[in-house]
Amino acid sequence: MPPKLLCRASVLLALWLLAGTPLLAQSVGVAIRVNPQVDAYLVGKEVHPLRRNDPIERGLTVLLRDPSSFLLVGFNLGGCLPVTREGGLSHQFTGTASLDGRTEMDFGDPKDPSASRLWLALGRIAMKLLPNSGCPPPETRTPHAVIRPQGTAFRVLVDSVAGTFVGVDEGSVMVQAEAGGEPVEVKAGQWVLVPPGGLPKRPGRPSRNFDHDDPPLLGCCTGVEPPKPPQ
Amino acid sequence: MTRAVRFSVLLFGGLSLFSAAKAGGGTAPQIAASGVDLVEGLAALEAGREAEAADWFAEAARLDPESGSPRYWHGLTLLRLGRAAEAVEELAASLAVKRPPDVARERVLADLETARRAEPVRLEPPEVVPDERPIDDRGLWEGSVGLSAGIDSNPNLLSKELILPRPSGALVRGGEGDALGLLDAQLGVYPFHAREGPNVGASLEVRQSHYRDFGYLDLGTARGLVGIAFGRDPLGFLEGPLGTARVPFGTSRLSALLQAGGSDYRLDGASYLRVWEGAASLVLQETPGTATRLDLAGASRGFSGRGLSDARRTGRDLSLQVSQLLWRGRRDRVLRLGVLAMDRQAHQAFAASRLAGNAGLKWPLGLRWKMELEGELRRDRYDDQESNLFDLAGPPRRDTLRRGSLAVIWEATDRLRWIARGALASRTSNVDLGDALPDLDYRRTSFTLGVGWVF
Repeated sequence: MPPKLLCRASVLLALWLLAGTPLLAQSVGVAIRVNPQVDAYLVGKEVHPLRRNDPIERGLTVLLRDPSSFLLVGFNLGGCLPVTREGGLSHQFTGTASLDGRTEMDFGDPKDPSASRLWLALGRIAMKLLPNSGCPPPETRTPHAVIRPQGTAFRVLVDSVAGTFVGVDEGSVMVQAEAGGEPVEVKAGQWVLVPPGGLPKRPGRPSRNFDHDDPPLLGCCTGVEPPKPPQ
Repeated sequence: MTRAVRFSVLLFGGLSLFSAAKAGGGTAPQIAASGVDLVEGLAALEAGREAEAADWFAEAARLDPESGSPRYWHGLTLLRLGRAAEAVEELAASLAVKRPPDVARERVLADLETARRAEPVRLEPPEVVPDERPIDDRGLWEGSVGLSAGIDSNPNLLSKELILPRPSGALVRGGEGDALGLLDAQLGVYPFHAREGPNVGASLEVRQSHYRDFGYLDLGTARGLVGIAFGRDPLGFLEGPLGTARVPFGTSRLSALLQAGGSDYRLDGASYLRVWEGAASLVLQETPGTATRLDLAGASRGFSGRGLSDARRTGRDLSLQVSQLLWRGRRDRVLRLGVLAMDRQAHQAFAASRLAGNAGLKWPLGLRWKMELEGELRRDRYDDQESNLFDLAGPPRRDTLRRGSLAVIWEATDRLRWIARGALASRTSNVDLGDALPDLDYRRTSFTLGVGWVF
């Protein structure tokens, strides 16, 4: 390699390292459906409206500001090779994410291209991950928990007061509370809530006690005759 | 009561078997794989690769035959490919399966009509409608079982000096305590859980206490409840006068709960009391840290008149409670202060009005520990002189009840919790059995240790 080119490449590499972000954003998915408006931005760049078929770049933050907003994304966060099934169909996506209502989410970590990670700051998401894709399933982080799926379909709700709700429809996920404790496995048909500062739990219905207003024996005895003092 | 317990056991068992069969029986749909294939198809359709899109949609439909979306998109793609007859079949099937397509029904019907006419039209893909299923859907049913044991210093609620005959004829003294065991189970069913809107639910609760020596005080309770709830709550439940109701997680400025139900109480297997109840509850959250709750409740109480049940207590209750809720930083740190007024219509001996002040504090003590403190001061003013049970010429009865309880809860896992509870109750009454004789005052302390499992 000529010295001049080597020098330029070194400068570019240094700039890239200093900036802490890749110069060329890496696409990790595609916006399949956008309705009616979804905003998006990369760190340090302007907010722009996301349109159908737009690429989802690693580290892109999407903002659904309207209660009726909807975004469907097909993604391949792990950068895995397409999976070919019998019949010749090759997957380009290893998972899908449906976001609706007021939601804020980051797709991937620009500082860690090897990480398969989503960050759900607020809102609602339904995830479907291709089983046996050979790709590491993306972990979903929220302010209250880390959700590590194991080939599955699951739903996550993040609310600043209620915490993080995780419901599983297929497969299972491990939920690790940010507050600590052991991870909890949530299987298909189950759910947990991780409240702010708390551990995963299933809030139960408190039962109601019954208390007699009066001594039960009083009903027995006063109905016949007054009780007598001891002799 | 025994029938209620048997029924509950059958119900719980049946639901468990149903779940097991659902989880393991037949070829279960592959929801995730089907969903990814559907998106692959949508991307191919968008890129104009219609033949490939049709293959993806067909595969998605095969993997999840209960979903209408793959079949709709398959039908639309076949129509664009000019295969109208096949399109009709797929579009019609999309409306017939368990879960409707993720597009407007009118659009599906219009596309079906187009396919039936076999018109050479190139239809544009419609907008996708988000799944109507709530993201925090918690399923059709949920429940809990609990078992506890403890000691009760005065289960007969008698003044320490008072001695009364038991139903068996032997005497019991007020100061005598006993050991007890308590079993309870709850089941809630939510038939419309899979769609947004008011939360309709029904619940069944059974409880059975068992005293070691005072078997005539063994209380069995069976309780059925239906309710409709509006709004959201960070803990996922709204509390009402008759119990709790499930609502979506979140916060709402205004929430409401309407409840109706019936309870059957049995003492030592014999009919004791039957209650029909209705209630309405309204919660207004004024600020992020405060809310006001208004509870209105009515009950029709029917005492059997047999055994220890006094038919003169039969009548109606109407109560109104106003509570102020104060949260401290988190929703599980809450102080509740309330005032209750109640009018009780019954036989002259038991007709009364009640005024009570009550308070509750829930506070986490650590990651897995929390405490619940409750207290009440209650005054009952009876309407008639006949309420003075032993001196009909005496003044009407006036009772003052003070009670408090402290529960310390250890949440061992996300579903298993241990509960230690201590309770103290003390009543004073102006009813006097005679000179130098004990009256209706009593003191009672109890301590129980229990374990509960939520499913």
